[in-house]
Amino acid sequence: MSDNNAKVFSATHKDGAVAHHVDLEDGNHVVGLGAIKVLIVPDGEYWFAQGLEIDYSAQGDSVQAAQANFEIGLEATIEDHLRVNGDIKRLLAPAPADVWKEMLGEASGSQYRYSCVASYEIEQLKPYRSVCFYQAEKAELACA
Amino acid sequence: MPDAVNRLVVLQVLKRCAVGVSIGPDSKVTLAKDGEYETYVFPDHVGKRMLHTLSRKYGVAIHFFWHPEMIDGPLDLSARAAPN
Repeated sequence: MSDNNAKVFSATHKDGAVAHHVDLEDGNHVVGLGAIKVLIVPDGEYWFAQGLEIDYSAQGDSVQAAQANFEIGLEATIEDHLRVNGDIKRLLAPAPADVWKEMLGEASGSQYRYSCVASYEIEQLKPYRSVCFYQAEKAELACA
Repeated sequence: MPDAVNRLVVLQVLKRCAVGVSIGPDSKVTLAKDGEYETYVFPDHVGKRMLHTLSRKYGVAIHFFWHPEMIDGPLDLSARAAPN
């Protein structure tokens, strides 16, 4: 792995959240997210996690499950963006203002700051070759 | 109206509303529309807040999740009513 031709992208949010992406141009990427505010609130019998500086959300049977599903899903989504777009710029859109207002106005729930650094090896920067579409009527998978 | 909707119904509604749905391992589901991809971990049922989020992000009318039979709309009887 050589970093001679590495491209570096960084973004910051006024609330302190940061995002860094290093494209090593050999199919390897390093992505770091820092201090992404995540609010976890009750949703009926479930718990719902909403990122604010990144408009991504998840749910789970407990606070811990919602948090875990948020992190697993967001990391998979980062990989999606790297595979399709070659970067994470389109992922960095914050949640809409009304979502901020609604979530921050919740009396119950909890919040935390999510940070991660992960490396990704992307074979080819192009859309999925084969996408499987679910057909509920037949309850089976059909691969295009 | 139940708050949570069966995951299979949610995926069916999304697909019928032109959202690409790809099912992966470990309850992961990748949704795609207009070149945007997001992967979620969906349990057996999807709660109301997540349904509202999917509605907002993918432009799916929220009531479709509880009433998927409404996606195609009411039968158009105009042709049948037209005079010969």
